[in-house]
Amino acid sequence: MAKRVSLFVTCMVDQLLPKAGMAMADVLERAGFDVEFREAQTCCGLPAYQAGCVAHAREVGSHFLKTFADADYIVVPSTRCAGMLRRDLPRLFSDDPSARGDAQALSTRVWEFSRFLLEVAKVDSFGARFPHRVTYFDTCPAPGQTGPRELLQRVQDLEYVEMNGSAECCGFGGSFRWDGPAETDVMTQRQVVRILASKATHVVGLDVACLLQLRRALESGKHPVRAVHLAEVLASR
Amino acid sequence: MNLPTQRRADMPELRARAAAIKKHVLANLDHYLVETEKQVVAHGGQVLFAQNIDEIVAFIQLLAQERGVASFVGARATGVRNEASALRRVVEALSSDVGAYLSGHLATLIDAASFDLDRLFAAGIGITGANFVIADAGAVCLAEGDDFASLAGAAPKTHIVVAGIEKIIPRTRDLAVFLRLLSARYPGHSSLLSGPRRAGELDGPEAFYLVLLDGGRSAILADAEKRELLRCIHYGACPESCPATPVGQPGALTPLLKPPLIAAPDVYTSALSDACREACPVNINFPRARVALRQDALGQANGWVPLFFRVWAFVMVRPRLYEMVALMARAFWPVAWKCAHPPAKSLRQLWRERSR
Repeated sequence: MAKRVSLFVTCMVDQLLPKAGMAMADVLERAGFDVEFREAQTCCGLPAYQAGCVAHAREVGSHFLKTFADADYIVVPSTRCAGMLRRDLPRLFSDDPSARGDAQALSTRVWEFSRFLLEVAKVDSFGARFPHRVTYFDTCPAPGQTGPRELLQRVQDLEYVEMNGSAECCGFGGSFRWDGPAETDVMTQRQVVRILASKATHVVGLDVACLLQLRRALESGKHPVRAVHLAEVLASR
Repeated sequence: MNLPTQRRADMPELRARAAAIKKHVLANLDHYLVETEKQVVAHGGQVLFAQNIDEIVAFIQLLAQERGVASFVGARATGVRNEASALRRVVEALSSDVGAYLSGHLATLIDAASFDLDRLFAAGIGITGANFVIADAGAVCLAEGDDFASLAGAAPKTHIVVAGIEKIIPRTRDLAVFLRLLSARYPGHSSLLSGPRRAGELDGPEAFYLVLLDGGRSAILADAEKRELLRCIHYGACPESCPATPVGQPGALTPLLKPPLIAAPDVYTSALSDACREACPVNINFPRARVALRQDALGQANGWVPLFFRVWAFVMVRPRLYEMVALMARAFWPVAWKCAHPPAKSLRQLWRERSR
């Protein structure tokens, strides 16, 4: 029997980049998993946690725990949301041993998409074909990861190039986009220049926030480069 | 300022040991404060505990009056920012023209241009910071660059050391760990100073005072989420490791940390990265502490943020309400973000169609 995988698509993918979530489902199904989507899912609680509103993060975290209590694998298309669920969520319940235990048990079943493919699914080929020049943009929570680069290089007809400074912040940086928009735009523009210098037609990432930030800047500059999620590349043929 | 950090093979081990020593001291600070005082007194010095900088200034003014002293010199220890600003405030309160003696980043007795030995030796009181206060020796350790900050302690008749209570380390031998760590980043030398000149000694001050400054540190010590911030040895790698450094003031101290305590990145930059934690020589989990600091900031500010997240959480635990609110928010999204419209359908809508 095929193993069951639950998608936790995150609120951002749900609302702003559904293509990435659907692509993730396709890739997982092709890898032989039964993919389910639980309608009760909303958010991981990260925005409140980052802002220091720990009590409200806990409320939303409890909702996540309830929704996915009996899930086998929970696959997430975002590095930071996966990090929130794996590492930070159990800490939110330091005063409540039973909820903390639940969170800890569940946290080991949460996987960031690319790590799930490499460490659990262990699929060598996805039958993906992507005849474009592609660069990878690291996200602050997980700079210098080899996994996503490895996956990209397995895609047929894909020409991979490394861009400069891919581990530097895209300017989104959580809430800090709102704290100093003018300064963060400077950072975003610098990354746009670097992406253009790589002569890639697609910039690939694993965090939707970064991708949207880059996409916005690329669109407003009328640059033909597209910012896409790794799942979209792996699902194309 | 970007300093090259020398790579050392034994770095992971040094970090683990440094973190363990600091953790131990902080857990037993009451004991080590008493031990420090005992040893400083045994070496002929005196220890004062100050709640804040005003108390230090008042003490020094009194001492200066008593001794008829009109001139001061000050020096800080390598990389120790909070002590530098504390010292600067002390010295500025005492005499404005001494400020020049405190500029620069590295250890810094006197700017090279204004180096003035005569003035140094004429000064009645020398004030220094300390990188480490060594409990078992009753001594202080100053890590210096290429000048001789320690002269500010050794030359004048009275040496006053101002150090935060978290600067204490248990044993002299622990310096083998900490100085090795510091040397990877700050090449230079270190001086150990303890007590006044003893009978038969040729130089050194006639009186030695160690002022241990609380300045809010004991409140941080009582907070389990933030306690480890006090391990900070002002190594300075955290702001440089930050992916958002070009925006954040490197090592900026935020108003949240009153009085200035740590040289870690601004609590409001680099919200998501763990790079500072990985760069820290004493393994401070700054991302975790940052959440606690923001929590405090919210408690003080009482602004729209807590209200926003109250509503937000109310919506996020009700999937149907979430879907409705999101539908409305998507209409405003392009306006708020000055960007193209989001896709027409959310993933949950697409999934329903796919399942049909």
